[in-house]
Amino acid sequence: MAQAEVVEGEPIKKHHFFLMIFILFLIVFFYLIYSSYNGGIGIKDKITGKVLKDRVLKENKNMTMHIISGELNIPEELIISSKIEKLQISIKDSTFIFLGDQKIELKKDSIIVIDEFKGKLVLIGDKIAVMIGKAKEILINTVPISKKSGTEIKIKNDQEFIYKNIMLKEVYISSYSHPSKGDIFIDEEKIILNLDNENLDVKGFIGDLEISQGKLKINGKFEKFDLNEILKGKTLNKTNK
Amino acid sequence: MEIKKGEDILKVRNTRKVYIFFYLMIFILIAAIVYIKYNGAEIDDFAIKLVLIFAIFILISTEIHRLGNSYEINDHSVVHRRGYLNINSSRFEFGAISDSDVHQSLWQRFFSYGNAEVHLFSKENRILIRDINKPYEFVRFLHKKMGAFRRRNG
Repeated sequence: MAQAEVVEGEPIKKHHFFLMIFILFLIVFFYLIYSSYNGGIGIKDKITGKVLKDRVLKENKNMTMHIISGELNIPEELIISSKIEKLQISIKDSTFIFLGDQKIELKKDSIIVIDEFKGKLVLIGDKIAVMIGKAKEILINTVPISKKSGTEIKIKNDQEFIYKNIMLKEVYISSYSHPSKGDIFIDEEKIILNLDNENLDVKGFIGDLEISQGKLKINGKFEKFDLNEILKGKTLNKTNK
Repeated sequence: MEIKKGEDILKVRNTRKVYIFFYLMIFILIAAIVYIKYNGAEIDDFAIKLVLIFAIFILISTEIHRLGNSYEINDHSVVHRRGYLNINSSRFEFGAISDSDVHQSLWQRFFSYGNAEVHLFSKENRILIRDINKPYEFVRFLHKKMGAFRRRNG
């Protein structure tokens, strides 16, 4: 780098610093381009990839997790922006999705299975409004679509599409708060809740979700459950087994 | 403008124009982000953080570098200060100065900055003031001050 100085000897060599910065710039630049168009080179994953899961597990050590299962109505909008271990979607009507740069047609009744989905998934009723992220492996009608080892496949939809059913395995939802109708079983039926358009407020859910035939099936664990809204309403059955 | 004129003191530091290449790197990274977004690709969060860290590092390090050297022309001398926490100050009385030059490369001329070289009577020594904005203005101010000094001191 240039420098103002009284010359009593040779000026300080500035090229090393410039070269170092330039190399740093090239690294940042190529990482930016490569990660955006080729699904990353794994650096990020090594640093942040399992943070969410680790965080949940760490919290679990300090918090008692409760088992939850049940069948409810479909929430108006469900936004998931964490890792989903396995995502299986059965398409109702034909649509298009982008896998990397390729636009792929999904025919009516196609089944798409996505392994280790990381990104954003927005479900509005029986439609998938947003599905943007990366996946380790994708199977369309049992045909595997994968990239060279170590890279992830980018997946994106540019139009919303209707699903017949959708299954999310090992998904983390920090907060689920929706008016719900149906039965909820907590800690193996120690607590049974019959909800009738009351607000179900669950924090730190980890488990499986399945939406099919207009019903949302929940099966997993949670950290906190807010009963206030429900107690204002009506039914709370507690049985001892 | 790097030259700060007080009533009768001129203080200069390196011009920020010296760091154009560094700023250009930041600009290229930001342009790349805009281009990627425009193309609808998803930008990796970690890459954005890297760009941000790189940009902040460049901006802070160039500013710190500028603070490392300063020059001052007052009524009777040229003063050069070096350092950040420990300051080394060298004073060159006008009586010891013989003449001065300005050196500008094509690039420097294009951005109107350059180096001023102040020669002392003892030939081995010279004060090289690198990469200042408007070096001719700096030298003109020096000559004006030296003329006034010589008139005052016969």
